[in-house]
Amino acid sequence: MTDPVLVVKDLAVTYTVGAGTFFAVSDVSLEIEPGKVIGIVGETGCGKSTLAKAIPRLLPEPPATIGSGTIVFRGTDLVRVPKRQLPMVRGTGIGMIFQEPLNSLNPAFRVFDQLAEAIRIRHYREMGWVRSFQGGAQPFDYSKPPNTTTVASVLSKPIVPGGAAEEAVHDRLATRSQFREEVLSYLRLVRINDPETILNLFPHELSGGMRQRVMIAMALSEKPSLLIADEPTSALDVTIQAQVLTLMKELIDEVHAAILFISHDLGVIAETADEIGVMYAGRIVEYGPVAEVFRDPRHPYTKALLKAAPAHYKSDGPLSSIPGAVPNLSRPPSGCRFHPRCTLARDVCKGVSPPLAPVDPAAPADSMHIHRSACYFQAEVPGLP
Amino acid sequence: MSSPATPRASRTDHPLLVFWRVLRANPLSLFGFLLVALICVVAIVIAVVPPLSHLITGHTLSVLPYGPQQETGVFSAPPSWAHPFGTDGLSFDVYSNVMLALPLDLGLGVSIAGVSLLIGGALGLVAGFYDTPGTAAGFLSVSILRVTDIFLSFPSLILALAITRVLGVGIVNVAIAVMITWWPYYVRLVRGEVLAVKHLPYVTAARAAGVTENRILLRHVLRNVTEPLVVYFTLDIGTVLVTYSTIAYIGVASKYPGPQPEWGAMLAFYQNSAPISTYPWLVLAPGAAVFVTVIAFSLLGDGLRDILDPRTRRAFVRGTSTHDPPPETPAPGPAAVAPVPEGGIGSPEPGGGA
Repeated sequence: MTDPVLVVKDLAVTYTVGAGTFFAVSDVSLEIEPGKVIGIVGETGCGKSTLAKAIPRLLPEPPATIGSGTIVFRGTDLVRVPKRQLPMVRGTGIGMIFQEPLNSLNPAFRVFDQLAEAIRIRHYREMGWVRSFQGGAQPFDYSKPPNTTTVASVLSKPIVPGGAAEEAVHDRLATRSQFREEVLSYLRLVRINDPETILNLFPHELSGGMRQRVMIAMALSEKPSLLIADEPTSALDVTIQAQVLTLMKELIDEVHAAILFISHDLGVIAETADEIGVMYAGRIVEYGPVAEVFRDPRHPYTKALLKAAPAHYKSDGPLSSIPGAVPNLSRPPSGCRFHPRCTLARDVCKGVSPPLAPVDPAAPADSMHIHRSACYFQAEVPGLP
Repeated sequence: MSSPATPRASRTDHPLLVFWRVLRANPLSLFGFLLVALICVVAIVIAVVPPLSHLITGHTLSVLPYGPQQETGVFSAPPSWAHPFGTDGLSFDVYSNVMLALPLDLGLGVSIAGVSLLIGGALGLVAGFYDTPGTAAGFLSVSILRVTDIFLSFPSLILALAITRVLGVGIVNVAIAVMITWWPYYVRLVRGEVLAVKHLPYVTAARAAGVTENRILLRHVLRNVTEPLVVYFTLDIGTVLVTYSTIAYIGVASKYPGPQPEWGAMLAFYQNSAPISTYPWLVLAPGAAVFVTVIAFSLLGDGLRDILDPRTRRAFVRGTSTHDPPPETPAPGPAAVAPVPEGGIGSPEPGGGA
């Protein structure tokens, strides 16, 4: 198995607002290998977006603080990287796609300028004109594995800045027209029909789906080795959502980056992800391969969440919901954070928070990729109504 | 690539053409723009031609009928073809004096507002963008704001007069005094705009793309702050002009009649030297000069607001041309029309199990 691109271990993020402290993310551990897609689902306010922004250290600090844990990206702990060096990690290292396509493009710049900025950042780093991030022992390598075929011409230019290939890196974006062609190629990559026209438009002249495509093109044009998609389809209506989702699924195969896909929509995760992490009140309560988790949920919360999702628009009675609400994270419940809403809750649940334990007792306890659940009574979950 | 139905007007349009279309759509802005252009051209001609002609030909070529203190022999005459704004009790031509004051007053307005814009704008950018408490930059930001507050706590006119008292009487000293009282407004304006812009998602998106903080400030934030700033600056030129004229009216800037006339001083002198009801043109001429200049910049400022904002700019252009954005095109390729995902999840356990 290839080395993971990102290893998050016991990450805790808190917000200090006024006198209160909000424990937005607690004890989250993740591992992502290249080419893998990990989906994170959960209700609103359970720390999904905080997790997404904490990984490239995008949270404003203060009010946010990374209390404990490590975020090891390509062998370097990002928690320890000084703030000044963080831009070197972002973009070409960790790319992001945001939720609001309406506001995530600068209204003053045409599409060309938006994309050109991203491409220029990558280009300068590839050419070694600006300092780029050297993570740990491995040199920082923007190239993709060569097994991509469809748009390989665009995405698999192996260039190692500062490496042995320093002698003569061919500047293939030297002229204006080459640069323009590069921008156009990324617009074509995200299936925009008429890139020549789109190039000269301002963001407010594009529809929501088009904007999100431009956003995706911007993120991909930097050739990140880890792509974090923070609810990329949530702000779009259903048909456009389907188009963007189809596009993302196709790109996942082509780009071969590790992807952290965050959504509150179980259907979206089911369609795209290899592994799924269910978050509740800042913790991952269940984790495992998508098929297994959906077929055999082993946490009462996952079970309730799956039940609450509308399936096939069948009208078999009213939609079910989970009684109660996500707890106030400034005073989270003791022990298992789900116990006030849980039908299986007993006294032991109020004491110590249950660890993520493998569902299969025979499985090795330290593996990150098997089906695990943070419930003392996970064996009883399949029997729940 | 594009379908023939898609007009490509926007691509080939020169920015100046767009500028002209917006102006054409707003008659008042067009009027303001033309007036400002006229005022600037006249001011430059009046200021530049005499010294330039002296330099080239050896003798001074005057563009005005009379010099600042040249006697015409006609005393207190009402407006006529020979003397468009009449003459005063010393037989000086009022028209020549008003026009001679134009380069000075315009230059003062632009330079005082411009220096304030540069100083206040730079301080406001720093104060707004690097305001993280507990850092050196955060301390700098707070310091800038406190100093600004101190300046803003005095009425600017009184403060300017007090500074003039210290610096001494004179055109340049009064200009410096007004400048010193003027920059804090720009700090406030720019800081507020920066605070509003820097938390918008596109700034976070730029940060996520690997753009450095300084570049975010100078490219993304500054570009989106420019628009209200330029509008405010344009409107502000008129305000500075009125303030300067007010101080000059008190008589601390320059003497009138003198070698360099100034509108505020002219007003003060004519108001006291002759009854307004009998010789109204003496006071009306410099007063109208201030009025027209201020109005011109105000109208231009309103028009600039529309021109600088890409949204309204396109709206105006769309109203006056055939341009339309291209229609939304669904993705071609293998999944041109993606099926709607069927009801979210695939219902692993119909009915929810046992």
